[in-house]
Amino acid sequence: MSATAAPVLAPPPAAGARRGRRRSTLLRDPVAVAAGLFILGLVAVAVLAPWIAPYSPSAGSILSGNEGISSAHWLGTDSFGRDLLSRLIFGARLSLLGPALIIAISTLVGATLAIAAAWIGGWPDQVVSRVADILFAFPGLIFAMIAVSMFGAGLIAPVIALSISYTPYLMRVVRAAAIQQRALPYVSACYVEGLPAWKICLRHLLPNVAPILLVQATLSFGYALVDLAAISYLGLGVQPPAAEWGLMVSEGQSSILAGHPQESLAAGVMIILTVVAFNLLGDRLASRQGMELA
Amino acid sequence: MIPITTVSGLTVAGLIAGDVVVEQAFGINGLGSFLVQSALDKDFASVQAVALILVTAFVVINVIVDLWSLVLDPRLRARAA
Repeated sequence: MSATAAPVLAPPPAAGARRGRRRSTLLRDPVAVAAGLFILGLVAVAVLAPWIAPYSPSAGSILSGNEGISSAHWLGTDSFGRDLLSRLIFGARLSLLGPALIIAISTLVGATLAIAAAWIGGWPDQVVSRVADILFAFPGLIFAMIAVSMFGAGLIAPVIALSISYTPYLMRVVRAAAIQQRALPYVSACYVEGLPAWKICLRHLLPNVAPILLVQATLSFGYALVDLAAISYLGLGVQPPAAEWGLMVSEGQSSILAGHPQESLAAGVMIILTVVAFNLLGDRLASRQGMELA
Repeated sequence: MIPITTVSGLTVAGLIAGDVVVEQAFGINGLGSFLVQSALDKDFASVQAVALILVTAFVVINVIVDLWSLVLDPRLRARAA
């Protein structure tokens, strides 16, 4: 079947040419490139943490606590004498892993449900959409606290809770795009070809909604990072002595009044820079899709 | 005017979450810090109760906002009637 179906199913050359032009303009956009490089750099730092970090993130002498910036400790030390730069570098691991898990889960669940709902329509679509509406009423943070009170503090409970509360945001966007795509002639063409519904959805519909999915996932990553940082700031997420940016903000809080703001400041600046990078990248990706952001 | 009103209602969700963090940061005794303390103590009933109150507040505020946009825009009233 594939031999006869190939010419019909191959993407039209115009679309391929347009995609090539798009990619090159994205690379010519300095803001998008800077944001992308910053994110790539962060991921590299997180992966290579044990080789890059000058000190262990947990070793330190309390005698050398709250030191300022020096050649030995580039960002100073925290109240336990641990090197702040090393803690920031190791903190990148947990701080990026959490949002990455949230986005992975909510994208998978949200896209599957949205495309299925858009494809089937009727009452299943209504049920999925109304459940999403109900989930919109819950702020992610409150939902995460309910989960923590049930399952205890840690990385897992907040990640699952936030995955659930981020799913409707991805779902709403993908469902709208999938309904648009479903009405296009190529879907009917696939249908006439005799392709099963799941194959049309997976091989033809999904690639066409993927750019919109990517935009929403990129933007949500930033919000997820802030939410997770807030949760660990409140003491409900990762527990000390783990290195995590939100946790570092709250650990450094008691030293601020003593005149040593470096720990909260360094972690806070990293959170802000990362979120800004993700938002800028998502924003640029969106404008290239011609999407209007609320 | 109508979009601004609608968005200001939806912003309340973010404000509720923000309030929890602010109360914790500045040691204010309120619903937010009570919620955090209950979550840390695994006091599920209290968390449930506070979450219910906050979510109800959100829904009520958004209903008021929706009704308020009827007051603001006569065209919406005409369409609803």
